[in-house]
Amino acid sequence: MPRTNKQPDNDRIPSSQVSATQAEKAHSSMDRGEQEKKLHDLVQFLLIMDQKKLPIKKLDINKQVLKEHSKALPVMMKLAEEKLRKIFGIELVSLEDKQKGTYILVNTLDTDVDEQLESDPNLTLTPVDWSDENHAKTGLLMVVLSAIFMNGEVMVDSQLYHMLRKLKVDQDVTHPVFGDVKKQLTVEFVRQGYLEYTRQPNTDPPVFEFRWGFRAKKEITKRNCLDFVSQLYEKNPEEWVSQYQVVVEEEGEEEESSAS
Amino acid sequence: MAGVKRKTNTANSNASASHGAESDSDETSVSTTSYLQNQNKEERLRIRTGYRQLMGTLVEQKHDMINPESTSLTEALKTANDLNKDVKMPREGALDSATILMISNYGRMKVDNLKTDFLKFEPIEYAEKLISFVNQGQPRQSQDIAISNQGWINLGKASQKFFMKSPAFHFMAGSFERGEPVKKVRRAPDSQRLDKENLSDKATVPKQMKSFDESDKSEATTAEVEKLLDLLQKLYRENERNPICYFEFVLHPESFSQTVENMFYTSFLVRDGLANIKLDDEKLPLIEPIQNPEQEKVRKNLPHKQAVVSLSPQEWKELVEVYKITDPLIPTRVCSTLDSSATKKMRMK
Repeated sequence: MPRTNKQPDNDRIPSSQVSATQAEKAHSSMDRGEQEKKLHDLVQFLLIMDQKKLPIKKLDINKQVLKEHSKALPVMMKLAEEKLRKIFGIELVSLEDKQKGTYILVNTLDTDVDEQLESDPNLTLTPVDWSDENHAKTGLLMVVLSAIFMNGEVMVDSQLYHMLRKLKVDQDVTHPVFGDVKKQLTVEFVRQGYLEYTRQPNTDPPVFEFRWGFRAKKEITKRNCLDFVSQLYEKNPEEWVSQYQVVVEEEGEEEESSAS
Repeated sequence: MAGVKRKTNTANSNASASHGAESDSDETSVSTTSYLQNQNKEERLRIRTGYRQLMGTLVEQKHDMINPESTSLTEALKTANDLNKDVKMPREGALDSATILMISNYGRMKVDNLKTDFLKFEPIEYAEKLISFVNQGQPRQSQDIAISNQGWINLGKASQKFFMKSPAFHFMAGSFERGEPVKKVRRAPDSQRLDKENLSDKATVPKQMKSFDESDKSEATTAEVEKLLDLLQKLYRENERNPICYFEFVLHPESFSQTVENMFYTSFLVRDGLANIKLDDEKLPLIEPIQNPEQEKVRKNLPHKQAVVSLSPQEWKELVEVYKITDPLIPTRVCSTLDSSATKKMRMK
């Protein structure tokens, strides 16, 4: 591809505009040792940045890891993606739309040890260790995500708050575990990508809607939510006619994408 | 004329499919006074009886009425509509509206009964089921706490397997505490400069007395180096103006750190052109002081050379043995900082 674009200042090109060949050139301009080191730094950087579950920005990657080799980002990210997958069983997901230019990490390995433990209680398995705080937040998240899904994949904020109040999780009261509940839902979970919080147009006072965020869609399946709720109600998943249909559709899509 | 009007009014009330709106027209139309008086009392009684019967039926057969399978409610509505055709007076109108109210309530209940055939998700119901699930048959602690802290944690633990979360990266043995960012002490260079400037000018009080230690150390070095030079010259004279063995000069039999310090100060002498280190026939180093200060000029013309001298504790011990050094030529210095145990012993002797 002929280099016809004028690049006034090479350093200030955002890496998203770096073409594939430019990236390869930049990558091969580093010597082998440097390539290896940068790659390892990058993988470690991604793993550490993932601690808070906030999306990782390309800008930060360039600033902290690649620095003068920012142009090589596309190549390096591909290599890092492979390493993460092969060594850690972690998938690197590039986000689109509003979150373009950022990445999240998602697990691909099965963390469900219950079945194995049931078959052999003597096994000493060490599933991934999360803190109690993390457990509690995950519990809340499960409740919220399932509710939103069962409600037709969208829930108006007043509805959600009304339901949570029944669980004595009140947005006006500082909760002993969750603190500022509203902030937890509308800020933290949204930033992490678990929830989407949008405003309904033309409403006054403003009305907001909650939906599943991009991370939720990657990390948890709708079938799991339906099964969870069905178990709660002691009913069969098929009895929830419209929700079951959504689940079947989702699984149809998954089969398509894995077959392709 | 009145007769014609009557017919028109009835026609109007017949035309309206929905009920209720037209009953007012009886009262509001001005010229109906004669019309009202004309309705047959018997007819009115018939209408009223009809409504009362219908309401009685509704109450008796409520169960049948609200059954989604049954059509009796629709039939009741039809009956009410038929009766309404003849309604002209408010009294009957009121009965009619009461009947319709009852029918519509039944209609709502009928619809509610329809729901049991397919499941509708109700958030409040969901919340209640959650509470009993989490509490697993234990009685609810209090009205204020639906799910306890531990309850949330347990719920979360059970839910973790549904989330394909990448494990958070933590160092196995932990990492060090970052601690408070160390504030750079910028006062030391200031104090040095100030001290030199204020030597002659006693009026200005030197500012930074706090960092006395820092400047003290550098002055101490210079002082030590001078002491060393005097000592070297003295030893040189005692040695009949022959160069002294470097190792015999710097080695301290008891303390490795003192030895290193000796080497350190000696290097200053060499750097400043006040001492000279050379190798003898056996390639062993010798040291001698330079007598002529004029030689400084010569030194400046000479190309600068650098050498790195290193000494490990092992080597130090070996050297002390080989050279059979019992007493140090350079006296032991009293250190202000932590001593090695060796020098402590020295001082205690």
